[in-house]
Amino acid sequence: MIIRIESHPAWQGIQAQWLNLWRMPAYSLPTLIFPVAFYVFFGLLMLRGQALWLLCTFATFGVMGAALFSFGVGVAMERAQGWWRLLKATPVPFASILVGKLFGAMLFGLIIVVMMAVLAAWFGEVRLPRSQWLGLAAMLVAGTVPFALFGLALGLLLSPNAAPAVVNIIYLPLGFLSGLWVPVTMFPDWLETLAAWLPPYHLAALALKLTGQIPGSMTLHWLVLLVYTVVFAAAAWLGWRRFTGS
Amino acid sequence: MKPIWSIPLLVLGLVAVLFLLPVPASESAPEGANNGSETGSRFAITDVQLFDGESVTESATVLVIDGKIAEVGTELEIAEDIDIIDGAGKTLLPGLIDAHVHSFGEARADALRFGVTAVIEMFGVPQELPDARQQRGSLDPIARADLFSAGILATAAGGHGTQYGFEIPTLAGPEDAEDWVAGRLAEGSDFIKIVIDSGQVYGFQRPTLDADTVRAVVEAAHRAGVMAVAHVAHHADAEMAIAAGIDGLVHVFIDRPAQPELIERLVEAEVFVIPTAIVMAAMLGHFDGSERIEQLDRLSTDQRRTLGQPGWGSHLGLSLWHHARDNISAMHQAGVPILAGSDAPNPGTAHGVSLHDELVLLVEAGLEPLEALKAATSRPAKHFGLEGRGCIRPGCRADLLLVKGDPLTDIADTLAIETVWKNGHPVALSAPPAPGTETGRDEANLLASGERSRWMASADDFMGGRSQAELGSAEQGLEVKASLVAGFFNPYAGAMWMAADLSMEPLDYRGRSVLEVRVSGGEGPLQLMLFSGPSQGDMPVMIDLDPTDNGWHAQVELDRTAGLDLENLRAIGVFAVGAPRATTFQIESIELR
Repeated sequence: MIIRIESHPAWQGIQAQWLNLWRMPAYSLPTLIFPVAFYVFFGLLMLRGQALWLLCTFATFGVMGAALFSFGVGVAMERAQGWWRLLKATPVPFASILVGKLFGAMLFGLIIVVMMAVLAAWFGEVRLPRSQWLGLAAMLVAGTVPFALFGLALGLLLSPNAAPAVVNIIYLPLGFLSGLWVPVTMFPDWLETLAAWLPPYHLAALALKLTGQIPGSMTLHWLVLLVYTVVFAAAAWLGWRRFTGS
Repeated sequence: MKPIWSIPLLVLGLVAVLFLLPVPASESAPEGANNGSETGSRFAITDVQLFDGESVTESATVLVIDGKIAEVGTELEIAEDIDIIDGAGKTLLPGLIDAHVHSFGEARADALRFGVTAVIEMFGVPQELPDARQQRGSLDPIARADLFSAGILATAAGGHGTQYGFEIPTLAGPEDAEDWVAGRLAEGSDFIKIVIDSGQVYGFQRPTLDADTVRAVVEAAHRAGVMAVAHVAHHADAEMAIAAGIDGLVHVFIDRPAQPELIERLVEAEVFVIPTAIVMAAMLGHFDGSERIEQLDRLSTDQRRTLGQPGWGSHLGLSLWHHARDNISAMHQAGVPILAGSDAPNPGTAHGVSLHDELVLLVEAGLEPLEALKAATSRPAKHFGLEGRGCIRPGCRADLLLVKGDPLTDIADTLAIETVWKNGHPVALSAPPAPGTETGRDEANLLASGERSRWMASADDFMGGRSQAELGSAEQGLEVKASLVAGFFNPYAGAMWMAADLSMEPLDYRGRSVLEVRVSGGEGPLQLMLFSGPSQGDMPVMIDLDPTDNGWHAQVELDRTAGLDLENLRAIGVFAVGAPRATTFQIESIELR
């Protein structure tokens, strides 16, 4: 049996999410512009000469935001609107909805990374070997997965009204405490120790190590992100069970 | 547009942007220079301002195939399999020719890294001439400039040229000329150089060849079918050389302003002049080569050393420099062909770099930038018969220099080097790793009086931080006032001991086994940083000092310290690190034994 790609449920999910993002600029534009504007302000204008370091950390901040908001806030809002209740009654596979959302988050992540990279190259005079430009983008886009699962767990576990507020409350401090705005090297020791427990710290560390900003092995960071991915996936699974009432 | 198209297109577009992001200069100019790879042997430079050795073309395209220029034009079609190098905003020049050097050691590699793809030697050891001749005929990748040479120069016994510590055959009179010239040609000399210089202008007297001998040498050279050029210092030397039928003068005379009659005779006799303004300026105190050391970070050890040597003639007064400059100006205006030469590696000059400074001085002396560029390309190629060099035309060698900006407006832009190609292959521009063979001094006590001048204050302020350090002397040892201010990276401030005379250059300290440091006072943490390794950018080894009753102490077993390269030890630092604070400590003793 041949299934045309247009009729595959996952593609339908992607397409639906595409339209969703396209038709909700009130959500899409801030998600894209906010971290990039931050990077321009802090990374290029205020702190000269650290464009590459801050590209790594602010791009992490950006992809994390795209994933958390797409899943955390997006799922909660759609639940609040009764849309997921309705979907539950249709034969639409939920997996396709999730694939669509994950695609949306990754696409936004990619757009953010590319925009920042262009700005970094143009105004921050950042020069990287091609393999590192591509590797940085690929690594950060892949890094949306744990945050997407985190967002999904929040969107499912929290009440629809609480979720957007909680995601907003988590997002900024999580970014700050992970050293995405100010490098952890400038933190007091106890805060630096705390940062090492947070997932964005490890995604940023991967980016910094890939581009040679800090020396050392990447293995630990991959492992930590993997553990977080499993934990968030389990939490999302719990939330899913509660939502479906099974 | 339907999502099925627009989504993949958007993703592809984003990935395409990633491919277009700029890469480091070293990657866009792959180091194909000495690994024999074929990378770069077929490429085109497009949309570039082209100086072809004679004139300028805007938005030109130059196609290089197999080490030679294949095509040049403004509307060339470039086949798809040819690598394209975007030349927008840049200027492409023929590889420069330095028409007056003395080539020892790594001179030709140093020259090439600064865009000088051929050098004309005015005196050097003849042993390497046969090899040099063979090499310059080849299009194989090579990391050295081509060499053309006079070999041994013609001088009187005890005259200029005999003071360099090796025996050279001298001439006693005209009767020696024939055999002497034959000897040079047998050794592989490309032309003959004659010294006419009594030393008077420098305040001493030394033997020099008389007019008859000079004429005899020039005539012998001409009979053998080669050129004869002359080192002159005085107006009278130039007169003698012209009367002898010389082809070129390889210095400007500096003792007095040129008489109009002399200039007329230069023009009539079609004599070219290589004024070597830069070596005059360096000798006479008009130019300080050590400034270049600070400005350029890719100089080799040799280049730093020779640039840093002070000019020995500054006591002679700037008026001699003014004669030099005015004489260049007058000769150029009268139509005497001026060729650019640096006389590197004389004090205050360096191979490669100094030719760029020569061009600046020539422009200061009144040459249009276009004329100065000709003086370093087509003109020496023409007068010395260097075929396929100093030109960018089909058939010329792909010895090329790509610079940012427009040297035709600002001649200093020749030093804004983007890429150098030799025989169609890009040249690695970075300084070669300094050989760590020079061994360190025997002194173990790094605070001994001979070592004290090697200590300097060092803090993160040099990399953009705000911490500061100050050194003073303590009753015992060295007092360090460190003021740590939170900045971007971990702040640090303290004192650094430099292994070599030049900051951060390596010396071989193998054979030492222990580094012991005692510090009194101060609020910790304090850290020892050992800088070593083949590159200045290598990470230092960091070792925390342990607190003691009244200060700090560390004893480092050097051969058990991972990451330390004692063969290339560059510096040892004692720093306050960590939390922002102001602290003062005394380095009581520090021994490397």
